[in-house]
Amino acid sequence: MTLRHVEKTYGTVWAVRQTDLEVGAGEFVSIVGPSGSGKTTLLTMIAGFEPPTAGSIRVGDRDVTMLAPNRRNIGMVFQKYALFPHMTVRQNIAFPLRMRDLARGQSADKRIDAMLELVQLHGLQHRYPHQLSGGQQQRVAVARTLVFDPPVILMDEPLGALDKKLREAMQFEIKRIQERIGATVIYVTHDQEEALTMSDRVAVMHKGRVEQIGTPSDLYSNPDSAFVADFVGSINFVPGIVCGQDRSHTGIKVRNTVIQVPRPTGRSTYRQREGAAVRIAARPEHISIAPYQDHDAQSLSGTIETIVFAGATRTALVRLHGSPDLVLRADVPSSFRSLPQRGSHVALVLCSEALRIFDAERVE
Amino acid sequence: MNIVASHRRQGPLAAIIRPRHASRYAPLTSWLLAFPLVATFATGFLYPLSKLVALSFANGAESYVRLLEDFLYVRVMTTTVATAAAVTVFCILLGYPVAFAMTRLRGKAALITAACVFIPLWTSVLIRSYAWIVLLQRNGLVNDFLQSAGLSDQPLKLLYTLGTVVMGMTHILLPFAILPIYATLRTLPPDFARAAANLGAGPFRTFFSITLPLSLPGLFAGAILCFVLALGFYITPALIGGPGSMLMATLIGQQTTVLLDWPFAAALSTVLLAVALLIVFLFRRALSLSKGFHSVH
Repeated sequence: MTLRHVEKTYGTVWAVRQTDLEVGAGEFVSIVGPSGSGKTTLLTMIAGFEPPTAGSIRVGDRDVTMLAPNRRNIGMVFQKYALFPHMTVRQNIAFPLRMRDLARGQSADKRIDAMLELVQLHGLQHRYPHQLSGGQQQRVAVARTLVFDPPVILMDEPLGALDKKLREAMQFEIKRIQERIGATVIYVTHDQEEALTMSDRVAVMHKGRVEQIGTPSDLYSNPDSAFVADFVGSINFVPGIVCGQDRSHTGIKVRNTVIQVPRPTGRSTYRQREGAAVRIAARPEHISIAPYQDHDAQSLSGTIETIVFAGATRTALVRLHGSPDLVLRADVPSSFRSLPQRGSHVALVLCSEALRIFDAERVE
Repeated sequence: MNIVASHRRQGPLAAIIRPRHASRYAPLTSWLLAFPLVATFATGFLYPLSKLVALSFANGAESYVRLLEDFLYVRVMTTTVATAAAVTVFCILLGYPVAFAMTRLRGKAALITAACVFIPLWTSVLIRSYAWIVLLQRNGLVNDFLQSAGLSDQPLKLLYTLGTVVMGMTHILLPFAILPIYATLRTLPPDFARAAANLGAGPFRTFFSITLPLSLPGLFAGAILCFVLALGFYITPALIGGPGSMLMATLIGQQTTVLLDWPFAAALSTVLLAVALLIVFLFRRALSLSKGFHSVH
């Protein structure tokens, strides 16, 4: 499936700006972004509920840009499932076949049975949607979409209404089904964790445009922008000034410390202006805590504010010395012997290979 | 969940009147809140009603025997029910598209449509019935137009026919069909229609297999309202109906004010009430038998 230069405006308001997206057969692509970033609008245009203002949408070699939704043959799982309340589970799943005049005959019955089997709802086929739990309704919605074998399946925050435990179980369930039948899925969510665990590729949307698209690990380790870095996983931003660059590293001065950050290999031509205000982005797992006496010209120092237990790790919130507004998160393994105490002074060592530089935040 | 679900089985009106998650009051509070209505209802309705039923048996069952034996009265009865049924059907057929349009319209168009539905509703039935007289009388607007346009060389008899009565009553009762249907349609999430389209249903099939069935509770509520109100309609048939189109309410009025035969009028009223109750009961049965409706919202 290919989107080319797809745009959508409402009056003078941009909902989606020139967007290009290519999804290969059998691929699971997530679109993530905060609410209002245009991800749902993008989905409604692919499904055909709203025409794009400009651009084209193709499925295979078929241009569907202006095709009515019922002629597109694109499946969609809605956020609130949109199961028809006056039909049983079986009737709901048979609906797309009925609309294609395929509902009668043994092959249709077999197909519906196979779907019920796939989502493990065979015993509940004569129930009405309101007699099912949220997770079961979700599975019916998935089965109803899969039954007519659409080349592309859209999912609009399908797990948003479920509680955390069930959501995690359903993530695996959807992934299992998707892999088993090799479906092409475009999955919209505001939950970046969900997107990272399920997807082959993730597109991060922000203010109506795709900021970056890539594999989950790509997005996590090589974010193109501060927004992506911040949205995918948690990250610390430390403001500093560019001072001195050589071929491989850029020096960033943070108060009295100069931190060497490797220059991205991909764009060697890109040079930070000397003295420019920038931000260093460091993931919590790339900041390590050392005793205060190890503090040197390469490390920062601060006071531990809180330590939060988070299972395998503990997260320390450290207030930087000399920058009272700045609190950094550092992850410490729980097995770590000499866990620092609250209120103690520590040195913070930034793992320089994993750091990224972004322009300083513009005050908007 | 069970509480909510059981509420939903209470029929079409409950589905509209009852808020989504009605919080529950303590029994005493509920009784106190309901007391004024219950008291008024008991003294102003139940007591006179029982007197009425008792009155209808003042001469034993004689009134009822007379009612059933005289072909004329049976005919008035069947005409009344048939008229009410016709009015109901017309109200639903004309009202549904309006209600449907009201859910889609935005801005000025929505305002104008709502005004067209509500302003007649707030206008006296008397005025609206007289309006039909102004339009349809021998030298009224319609006859004037027909004659000046050369479509007819003499004034047509447009008033005082059963057809006119049905038209007038349909006009007056239309809002009672539109509003419950509109209320139900508005609570239907747009996702249902979108899902249907996504699964391959064109606009026509989406309407008949999804929107219409899901709006049946509102449709039934509107139909019951129209039917029951039409059964007892007095002013409109009295003003624009003729002697050939005598309806129950007019007959009852005649018996009480002209012939002063109160026991017979009471018997007529009781029969009318029984028919109305029977119809409401049947409607509710029909609704509770069609599964899934109570889960619509």
